Amino acid sequence: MISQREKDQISNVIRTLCRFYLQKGCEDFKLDLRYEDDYYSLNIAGKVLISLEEVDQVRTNLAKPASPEMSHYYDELLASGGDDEDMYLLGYLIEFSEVLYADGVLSLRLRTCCH
Amino acid sequence: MNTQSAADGHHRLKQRFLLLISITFILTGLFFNPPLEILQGFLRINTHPSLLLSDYLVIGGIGATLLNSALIILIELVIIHYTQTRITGALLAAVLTTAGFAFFGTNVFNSLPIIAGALFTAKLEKLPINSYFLPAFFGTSLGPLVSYIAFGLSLPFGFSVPAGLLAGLAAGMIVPPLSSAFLRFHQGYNLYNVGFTAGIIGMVAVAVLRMLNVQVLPLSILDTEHEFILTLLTALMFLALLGLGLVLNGWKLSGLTEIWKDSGRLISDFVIQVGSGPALINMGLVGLISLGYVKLMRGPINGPVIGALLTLCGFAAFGKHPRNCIPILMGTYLASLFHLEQTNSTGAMLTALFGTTLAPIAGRFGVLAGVLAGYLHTALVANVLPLHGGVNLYNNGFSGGFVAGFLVPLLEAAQRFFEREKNDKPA
Repeated sequence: MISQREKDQISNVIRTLCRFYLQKGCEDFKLDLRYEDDYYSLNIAGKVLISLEEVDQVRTNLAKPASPEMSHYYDELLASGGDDEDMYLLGYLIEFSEVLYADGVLSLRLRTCCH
Repeated sequence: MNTQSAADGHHRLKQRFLLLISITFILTGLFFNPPLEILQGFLRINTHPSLLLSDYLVIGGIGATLLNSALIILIELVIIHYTQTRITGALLAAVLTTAGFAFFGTNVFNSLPIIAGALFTAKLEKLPINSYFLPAFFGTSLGPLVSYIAFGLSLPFGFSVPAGLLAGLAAGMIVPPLSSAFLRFHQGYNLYNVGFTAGIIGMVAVAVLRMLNVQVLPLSILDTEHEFILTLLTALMFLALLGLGLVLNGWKLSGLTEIWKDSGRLISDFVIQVGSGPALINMGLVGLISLGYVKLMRGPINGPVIGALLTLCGFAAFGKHPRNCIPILMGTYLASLFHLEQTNSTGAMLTALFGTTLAPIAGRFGVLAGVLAGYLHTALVANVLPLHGGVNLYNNGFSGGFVAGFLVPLLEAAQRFFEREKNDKPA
């Protein structure tokens, strides 16, 4: 059973991702959320205006090791900043990430555990 | 060496370094006072109401104060060790900050119930216990609430001590959810977030006490006798951090530029981002710069100032660096120059050093914004102290929350305006 806290956290993650895509000029993106027993996975893909350096930055941000003191305490900061720093914060929550960029389409596959 | 074993090695080194600090504190204390005197002083510290500013160097003596600080480090190290938690920049900041505040308000008696309360909340919420280490350790800023109820109300100890412990447990339990929620108020631009939370909790608790006709007033007990040894101890500690960082970083300064480019906004964990080596170098440098600032201003070195120096050093692993701290120091200095009677009093030093809680504003919006933040912080910090009567040790974190909450939306609006103007200009 998904807890209220987890629901809030997932909502904040989705807000962060949506905001990021919109800020990068995306007008049409697809977001897919799947909740399993002990984790949830999120896939998002859309055409964005982004440089290769920015893609690398997204990759680095999301590859950071997740840590409990960050993911259960500072998660309230998600979607409060309004710039790329939110993607950086997101990295602390994500346990697995795959970043693909081809033909202007940025696809993110993310997975994080639920406690 | 692969990344995992290197990280394990660095973790052990950080653990040993903190252990070494606590052992050095105990041995230095034994050099100044005989064991019995230290124990008597330790008892006086742990039974003192401990409201801001209660310098334990005066209350218990140097040996007992150093023992108190060493024990706080050891308690936290034991908790970290037995939960197999990796020492991140955030945890380094927490351990060094609480060790610093153990010079003027945090003690073993008043911190344990708060830590227990916060960890109990993690259990209640079915979260890993280490999820709440930060609010648990930083939550000890409410230690004086425990000590004042236990020893400051002139009630029978059979009643007041359990009441103080219960108040600490309750405060510890509510710190994690509140501090997490308050992050949104200042958007991570006030590094002492738990200080802001503890200020709100302290304000509510003291308001209730005042309704019961209990007077809670800040104190001013300050040491003047241990300047040399305290300067030497902190300088050596900062140099050791710098040296350890250089060793871990292969005697290179690589990674430091990356740290200095960071805004410092929560969460900026330099240990995770750049690695232990550069983070420790930054800690040593920030520590030495802040000690240099106090000496340049001819400020005193007493318990509270040592607390501030250790906090700055600790937070140099978690958001602070010279580039974002110096503008804040400039702003607080300007404000004290124009508005305070003394620019080198303990109060002025604490405002300047702890004012760097607002360092992310300088890091994100530039030097002028940092100077303005420091200036406003000086104006506000003295005004918020009476609200909690000194039961919150992180008074600057309380004030910093309001400054950031007020300033950041305005700075963002100004930034948006100038960006629009720039974009609207014909090419």
